[in-house]
Amino acid sequence: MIRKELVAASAEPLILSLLSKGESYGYAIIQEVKARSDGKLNWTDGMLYPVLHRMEHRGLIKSRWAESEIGRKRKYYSLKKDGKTAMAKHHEQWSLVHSVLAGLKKEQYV
Amino acid sequence: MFDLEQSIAEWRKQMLAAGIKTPVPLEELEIHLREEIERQMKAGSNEQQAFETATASIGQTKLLKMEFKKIDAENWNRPLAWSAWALFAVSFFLPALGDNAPGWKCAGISATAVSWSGFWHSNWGTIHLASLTLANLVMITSPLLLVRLSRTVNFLKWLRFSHLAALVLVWSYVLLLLVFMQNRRDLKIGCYIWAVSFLLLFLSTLKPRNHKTELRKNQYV
Repeated sequence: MIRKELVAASAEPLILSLLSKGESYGYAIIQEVKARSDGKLNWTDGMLYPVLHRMEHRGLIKSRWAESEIGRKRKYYSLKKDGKTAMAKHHEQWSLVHSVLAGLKKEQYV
Repeated sequence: MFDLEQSIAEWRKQMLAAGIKTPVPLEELEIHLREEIERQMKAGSNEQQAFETATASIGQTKLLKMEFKKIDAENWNRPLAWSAWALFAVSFFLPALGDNAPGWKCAGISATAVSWSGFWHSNWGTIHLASLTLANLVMITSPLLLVRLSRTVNFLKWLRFSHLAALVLVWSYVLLLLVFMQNRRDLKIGCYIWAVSFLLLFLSTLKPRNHKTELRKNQYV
């Protein structure tokens, strides 16, 4: 299981990256994160919504209510321009951390 | 016999009792709960098992409430808003105009100005005076609106706009009085405090972009 602090820090970049593929809703976002991490990134489901609302207030994402194909009401979130900029920044920073870690690991085996 | 709909209604009541009272988060959480129940049942659980698993995965009500409260705290500045409301209330009991007329008396004059004959004959001074009642109403309703609806982005924008409109109305009136009043000393402390309360109310709904907010933003999942 991944540490709580890392799960928290990765929430925003993951949500932004998922939404960059197209609009989505809370439940689908959680399911996709679980599936892509083989259940290792374990979010407390309800806690996703304060994060989404906060991101919406900061102007990174926007939302709209709509009915799904099976007639269920859902709140769909999508990326805004500021969200795309924030996502690019996250990718840059996480890539840097990853490359430093990977470099250090490589040196251990030389 | 387990009744799924009744259990969901009970869960909703618990959420309300714990303090998640604004409609949007609660509705979203309920939709999420129903989707998870459906998924659990497709995977073979019975209604009761599915409900119990789904409610557990949503998380503790107290923690959820705390997280939503933090959003409120980020959306409007509570100390500023409370100061505005306190000053507004105090100004009603302080001398505001002329012969030590208290604030409440001035508010009454403003409220009745709409019925004056001048109002219906485009007397702009009277219309301006009457419009201050609207500004007072904005202030009086603001505690309820800020506490209950400040999480809705569009509504918060509208609220900010109405606070700005009230601020412009109030300050333009005070400035006009200062410019055209023969004896400026007729404008008393209550009037200034009343005007300052509108400034604080508007400032309280400006989006805070401080360092603490930035630090807190990633700590919630």
